[in-house]
Amino acid sequence: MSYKYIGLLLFLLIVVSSLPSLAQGEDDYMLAKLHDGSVFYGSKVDEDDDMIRLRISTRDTIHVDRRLAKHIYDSDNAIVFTDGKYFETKGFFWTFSMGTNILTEQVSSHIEFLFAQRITSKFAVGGGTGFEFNEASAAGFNFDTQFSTLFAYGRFNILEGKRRFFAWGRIGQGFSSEDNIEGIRNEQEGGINAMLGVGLHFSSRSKSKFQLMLGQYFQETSGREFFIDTLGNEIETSYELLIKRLILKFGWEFG
Amino acid sequence: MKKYTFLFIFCLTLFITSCTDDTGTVTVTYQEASAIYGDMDEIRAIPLSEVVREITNPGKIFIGEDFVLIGEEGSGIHVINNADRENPIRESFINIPGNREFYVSGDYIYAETYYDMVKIDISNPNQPLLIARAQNAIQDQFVDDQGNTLIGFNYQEKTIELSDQDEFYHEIIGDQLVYLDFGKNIIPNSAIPTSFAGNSSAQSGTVNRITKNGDYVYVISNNNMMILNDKDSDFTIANKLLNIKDDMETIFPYHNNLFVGSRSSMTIYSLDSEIQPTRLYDFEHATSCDPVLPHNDVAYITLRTADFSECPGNINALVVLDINNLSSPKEVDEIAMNSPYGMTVIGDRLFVGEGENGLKIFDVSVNDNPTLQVHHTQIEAYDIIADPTNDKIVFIAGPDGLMQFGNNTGDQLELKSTIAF
Repeated sequence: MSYKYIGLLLFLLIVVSSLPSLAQGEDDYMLAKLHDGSVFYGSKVDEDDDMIRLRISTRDTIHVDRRLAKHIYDSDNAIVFTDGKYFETKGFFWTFSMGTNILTEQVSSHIEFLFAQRITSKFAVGGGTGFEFNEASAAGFNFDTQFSTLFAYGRFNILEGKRRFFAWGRIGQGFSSEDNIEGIRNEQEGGINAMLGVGLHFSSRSKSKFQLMLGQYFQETSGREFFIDTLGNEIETSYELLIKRLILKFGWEFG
Repeated sequence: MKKYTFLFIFCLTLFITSCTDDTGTVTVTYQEASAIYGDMDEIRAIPLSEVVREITNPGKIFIGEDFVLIGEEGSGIHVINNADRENPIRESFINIPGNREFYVSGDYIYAETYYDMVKIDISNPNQPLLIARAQNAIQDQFVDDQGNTLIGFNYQEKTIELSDQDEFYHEIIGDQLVYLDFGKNIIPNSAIPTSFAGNSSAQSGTVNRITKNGDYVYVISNNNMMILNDKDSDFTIANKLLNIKDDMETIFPYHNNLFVGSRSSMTIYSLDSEIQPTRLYDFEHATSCDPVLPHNDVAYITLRTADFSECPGNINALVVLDINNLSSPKEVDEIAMNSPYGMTVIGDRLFVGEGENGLKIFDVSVNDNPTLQVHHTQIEAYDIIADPTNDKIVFIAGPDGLMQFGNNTGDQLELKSTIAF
């Protein structure tokens, strides 16, 4: 079995093993992070404008002064789980992710920055930029391609839980990073860039959260590249390709 | 719920794993090689002497006392009377079919001609005499079903459109075994437009595939070294060292050793046993074209690369090796260059041809510390050699001709004449 399949199997294994964790968060659970760094979470007993009363895991009831709280996460702005891990459901976030191709032997390396807003607890939209290197392959030739990308992004949470299963997609334009370099005759044009996939989002007690994603990648490209054959003669190629890759990405979401 | 989840994941996995092959078209323009066959007996019977020809595709150049030999790539050698340095005259042509490389030792030329090596007496260069022929010295002949011998290829530019699944490129490099063997074993085209031939005098070119040490002639193809016995009128193969190194390009004798430059290393062979050279040391370097010039306990190596050339890469440098201990040379200096080709030492000056980027002259009065003295940007120089009778005259091989310069000061050059190509 090719080592390239290991990434896919690993992803599926993690997804399947995560299914028991897809339980819903508790509506009455909340988490408070105070300015002094302490964190309290538990079941909300009641609240008023100044204080919140929480029943914590020791079955003790504590009072949290709202003026001392830096962040309060409850059903209004988050899904809070009984162990204090949570997902925000409102506000902006940004992610940094890195990816590589699986299933094929060609090299692909992607990095991505994304800024987005949670529209509802299930749906988020945004935009981002990335840098992608793909070794495209056709007719026995390998073409080295590099793209800077700008894209619009959307994410839909399919199953809620401590590990959240989501579908995601992005579409935009890949701009060639190899144009007009002096002395280099290779030419490369970009084109439509898109990805579609699924992912797992890991809840945490901090504002940064880990993501694991699997996506189908598409990139239009055309260009010209030169090769030297075994007797020193030049081979000129021009290509119009749709690069397709299965990309395994991991990333961190902040905010 | 779980059942739907599994079904969803299964369907999604099927979808996303279903398309991982790039699709599209590739238009390829390449040189299609067609085999040229010939009768080696007929080729071997062609007379050496011929009347004057135009110089159309110059290759190796030898500077004699009163004459100049200029190789015509693939067909022979022009003889030019150069007794009057300011008025050279073409006098005759020596027919050597298939020839690219030759070496001059005294009154003899050692030249390759397709599969053979020949030894030619040029005591009167206008009336050359074939002394000996070592048949199939370079390699055994490739012969087709009709008994014709492969002697080369014609190239024709072709353009084709390929689908993404076509394995065109793998086919042209993977299945053409005869093509590849021929190319690897026969002496290939030079990566340098013109250069000076190796010879037995103190002034010898550095970009050569044939040399002589004692009674033996050494010839390198891309991968093999052939050793010919030149003792007592004998001119036969003494040994063949097969596949000793990939992409060998230059060979230079020095103090009973051979310095062999390949695209990835400079290798020193001891000639304690003349027919069984022993490898003493490999100096590995970045892939590049690299003439070697040993001189007074140092070796100068030029490393040249360029995109889309026969020497692809990104290094251009003059490297200096201390070779006091041939088993363990040490790199003592590396000087950035533009595109270094051939070189020579005249007095305390190292001349390095930079091709389109001119000619650089270094002070090497301290051997291991070359110091740039002057950069002649207007002279397109691929190889340099001193006049064998007068070291105040410098010959420079350029793309359009052989230039003769006066060089009284060591650094300044005064053009005397040009033998145009």
